[in-house]
Amino acid sequence: MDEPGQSVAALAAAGISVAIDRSVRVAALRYFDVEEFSLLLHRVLGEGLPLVRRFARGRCIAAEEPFILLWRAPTESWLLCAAAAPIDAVRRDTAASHNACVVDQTGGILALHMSGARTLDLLARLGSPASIPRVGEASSGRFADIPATAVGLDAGEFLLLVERVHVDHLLEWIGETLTDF
Amino acid sequence: MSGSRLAPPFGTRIERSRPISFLFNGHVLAGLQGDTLASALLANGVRLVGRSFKLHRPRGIFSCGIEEPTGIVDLIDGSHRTPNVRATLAELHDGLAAQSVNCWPGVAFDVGSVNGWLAPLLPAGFYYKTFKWPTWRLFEPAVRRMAGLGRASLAADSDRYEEVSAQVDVLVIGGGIAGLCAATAAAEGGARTTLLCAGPVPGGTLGWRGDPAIAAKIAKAARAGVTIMTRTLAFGVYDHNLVCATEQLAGTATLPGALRERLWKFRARSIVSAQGATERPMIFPGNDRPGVMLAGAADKYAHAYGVACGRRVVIAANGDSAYRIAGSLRAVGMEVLAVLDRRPNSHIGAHAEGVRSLAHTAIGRVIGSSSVRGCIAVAADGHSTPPERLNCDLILSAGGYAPAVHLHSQAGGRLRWVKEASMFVPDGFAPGLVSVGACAGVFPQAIVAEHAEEVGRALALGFTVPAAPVGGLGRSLASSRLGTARGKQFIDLQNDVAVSDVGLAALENYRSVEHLKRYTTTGMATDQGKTSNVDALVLLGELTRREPAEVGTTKYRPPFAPVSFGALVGRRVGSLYRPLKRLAAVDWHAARGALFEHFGNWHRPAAYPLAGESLHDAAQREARSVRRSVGLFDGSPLGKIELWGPDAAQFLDLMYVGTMSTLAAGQARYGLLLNEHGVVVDDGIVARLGEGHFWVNTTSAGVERTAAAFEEWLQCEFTALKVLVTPVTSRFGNVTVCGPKAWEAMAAVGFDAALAPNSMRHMTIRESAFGALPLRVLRASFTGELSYEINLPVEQTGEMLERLWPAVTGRGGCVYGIEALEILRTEKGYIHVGTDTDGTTLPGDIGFARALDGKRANFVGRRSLLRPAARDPQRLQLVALAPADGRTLLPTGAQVADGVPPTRAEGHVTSSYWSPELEAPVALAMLARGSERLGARICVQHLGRRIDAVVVKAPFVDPLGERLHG
Repeated sequence: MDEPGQSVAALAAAGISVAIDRSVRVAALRYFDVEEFSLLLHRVLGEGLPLVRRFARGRCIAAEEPFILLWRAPTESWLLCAAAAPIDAVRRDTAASHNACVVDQTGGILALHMSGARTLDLLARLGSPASIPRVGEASSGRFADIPATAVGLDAGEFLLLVERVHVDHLLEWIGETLTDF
Repeated sequence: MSGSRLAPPFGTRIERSRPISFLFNGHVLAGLQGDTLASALLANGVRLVGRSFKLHRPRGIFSCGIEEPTGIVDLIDGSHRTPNVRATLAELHDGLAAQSVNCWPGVAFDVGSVNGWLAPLLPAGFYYKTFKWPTWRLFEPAVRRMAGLGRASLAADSDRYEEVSAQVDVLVIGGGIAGLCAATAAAEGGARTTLLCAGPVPGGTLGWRGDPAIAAKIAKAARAGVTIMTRTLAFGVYDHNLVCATEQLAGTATLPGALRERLWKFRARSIVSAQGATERPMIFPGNDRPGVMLAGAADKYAHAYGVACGRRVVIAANGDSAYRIAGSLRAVGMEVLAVLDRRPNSHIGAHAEGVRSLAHTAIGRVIGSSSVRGCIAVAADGHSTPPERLNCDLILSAGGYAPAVHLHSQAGGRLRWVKEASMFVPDGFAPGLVSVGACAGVFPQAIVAEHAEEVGRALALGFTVPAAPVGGLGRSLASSRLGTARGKQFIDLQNDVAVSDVGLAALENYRSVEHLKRYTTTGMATDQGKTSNVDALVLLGELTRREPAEVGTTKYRPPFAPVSFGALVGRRVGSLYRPLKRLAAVDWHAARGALFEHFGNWHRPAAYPLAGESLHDAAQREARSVRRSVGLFDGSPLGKIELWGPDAAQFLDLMYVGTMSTLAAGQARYGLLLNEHGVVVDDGIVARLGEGHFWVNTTSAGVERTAAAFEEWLQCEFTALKVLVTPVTSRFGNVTVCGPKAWEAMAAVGFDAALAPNSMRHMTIRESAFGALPLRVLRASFTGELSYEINLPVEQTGEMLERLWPAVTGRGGCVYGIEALEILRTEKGYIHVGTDTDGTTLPGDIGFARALDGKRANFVGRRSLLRPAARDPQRLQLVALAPADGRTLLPTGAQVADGVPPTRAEGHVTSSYWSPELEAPVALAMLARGSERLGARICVQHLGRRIDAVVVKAPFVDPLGERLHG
């Protein structure tokens, strides 16, 4: 019940597959002092804040859980992971901080996993070139008229992070587009 | 003009072995693969193609490209009807059906041609001066029916369109020799290069002439890595080097429902415009007759399509190109009777072998009405030589060239007038855009290629871009009109604008070319004056004794050529028309019979009608149920923002009318959000979760703009404040339990007893839990009843509704929608920002004067509230209204006024419902001096109906507010 995208048939065409990765948890990390928070992250996750428009992969030191840390804005990065442990670890260490906080967005932000040789062609039909990331990049922009953050995981492999309320619209647009591929 | 196919080798674009059948005005005609509709019509000897916009004069094919002003048709394909298609661009395919425009009953006999006889009564701007008595509206329908071009289809467009974005280093626009050379050099220099070619094949003039060198150029471009896109027309250059183009996908055939056009949005580091030039027509009496056409067009029809547009040709010239074309037409077997050169001998720099040439000569009259049967050659001064009749069937116009400076101008480039060749060319470069080839005013082929290559290379490698070596056209006169001739000399063929119209405008002291355009309509409509603009401004200059450079051009705005609405809309049709937000629990609501409507970009339940129940009845039942028992409401769309940081409280004081810094942790307060003009833009509840941690509720539709406003003020004005703003609307669902039995229902399913009304007061927030589920429970009410807003992880919303459902229904309650909520809040006199307020409403207008006076600290909008206008006693103020008869519903939007217009309105009804609690109508209104008029009788006017009403005290229900506490 209540899961977005259920009404859309499997989106796969021309070698492209698009699916909601429901295992992805998302936490917004918010901070004032970048260096101070980067040090904290390094201590907790083993990875500091990513550079502008970049993302980093790592494994949480404490829990050995994989995560992705992506740049969103000068005072915001997102932590993506399948298990709660990395988010909990950061939250614990920021609880008493005056510099940073963690806002759990899990369930509110959903991850669409897109893969296939022509995925870039598909993204070009959803958003502007400036919002389409290269491999190793994370960029925010409008895709199918809605705000989203795209992550270039690999050649032909992307994550599109989008607010849950918009997922049905995005999937329908993608479905229409794939019809013409 | 009697067209015919020429024998090979002429016809580089057609495939003679592939005949095509098509319909024109119901007649079956034959063409060849590769033909355009125009070339096929000319090959079939069709001269009369349509009727003109205003005077219904007979018109034929005038050009061979995008500039076509007269060969306009409607294309009909099954249920499709594409209006105003230029026949010169329509690629022929089997089954194509075209119809002439602006004629009835047919193009040959058109009743509207009576306008030709009435032409003296229909000069430029006639509708500003005539048809005024007794009223313009009396004549308007007939005038509009008589004018115009094609007819749009009333049926929905079943074709599909899409939008694609791309990023390139160098974008070359134009597939001729200049474009190919620039693109190849850029790509060889390492730049990602894309070349846009508007036609089906690249190559430009050399291509259709069959020059073997062009094939090598195209192959070289491909080898260099240039992406060549055909049938792709760049129509606009916008900020930051954004170029928009449309790609025609159907090509030679259209399948219903197929992807038809693609809108490309290119971001280019550098743009190269290589769009060529348009031939300027000559101005002489009867220059609009079918059988008069641009000289270069006739040449192209001959070489590219193997069509001789006539047998005996006269060329009216104002440039050396006429002689080259005369020679070219002789080579294909057409007889060129004469070149009538408007210029004196001293200006003429070319000649054509075997062609009679008459200098200082012009056409004084065209013989023939619906097609050319001859012309009268006269001396340009009108008397030095006797008139001579020439029995031609084709008159060609070679008046020089107008470089296509549109994109250069759109990009912000300036223009300069080259007097020798009488043309405007780019004055240097536009920001981000370089022109090459004819559109830069460079004409000799070898120089074009060399300059374009240098430009391409320079852009790729970051070198200085070389200036354009303008020249190569010889000398032309600025104006080719005959001052003494009788008969209409047309400037703008598409809009029936003649020399006399421009003369009238000049006589009436129109001096700006922009005003000339609006007054005479020259340069408007589908061709946007590609063949007329320069002639019009030159003539205006001549008539007002100014040089063309002084007159200047109109502003070249996008689009360069017509763009279909479908291409602009792309995928945004049907359910994708706009992004609608979906509730997490949409399935739960659907299962309860929700009637969904759109509210503030959300797709959410308006009500839950039972079988046979109307929306109104359902809302009444639901509202009654909430007042008497308990209601369940999905408030998830309510905007939610978390504010965190040491200065969050101070920041909220600056943003809201209310003071938030005095809230203790766990307390909540209502707040109004103003913009810098003091206008109410949003409202909501601010709750304090911790010392520097706040929970902000906004209106459902206002959360994005509120979050954006917070960020803007923090980043631009309150930069010293340390506050982090994080929207969390999607993260949290909101289940609201409301009504006198709200807590009873919640307690029944196991909510923490600490949330009971006797322990948790109105306007407080608690972080709680329901089993393992973390909750933020806010006691606030938009209905006036005991109310709990349960904020929870969004994916659990449906589960929570389902858990509460039996407890609610078991107590006689129900789920309620937006319509019931509106009734309930109106009964309480609560405002709904955007419904009861508008872009002029100040807080004092809605009863917040005391809050303003009581707040000493500064806040956004405060200074604007000190303006005299903000304290005007005549301002509209929120009041409650009841109908005088106690039964008549006051229509929302109805005006409050003593009489019908022009009586000045005193206000308007903003919200109005039938109250199930009172069994009487209740309404809110904005009324002038409303706060002073309690008890006053007023009149509400609605569509000629008058309803008496009384200003009453709000709230209508529970005036002491006791029900809030359960």
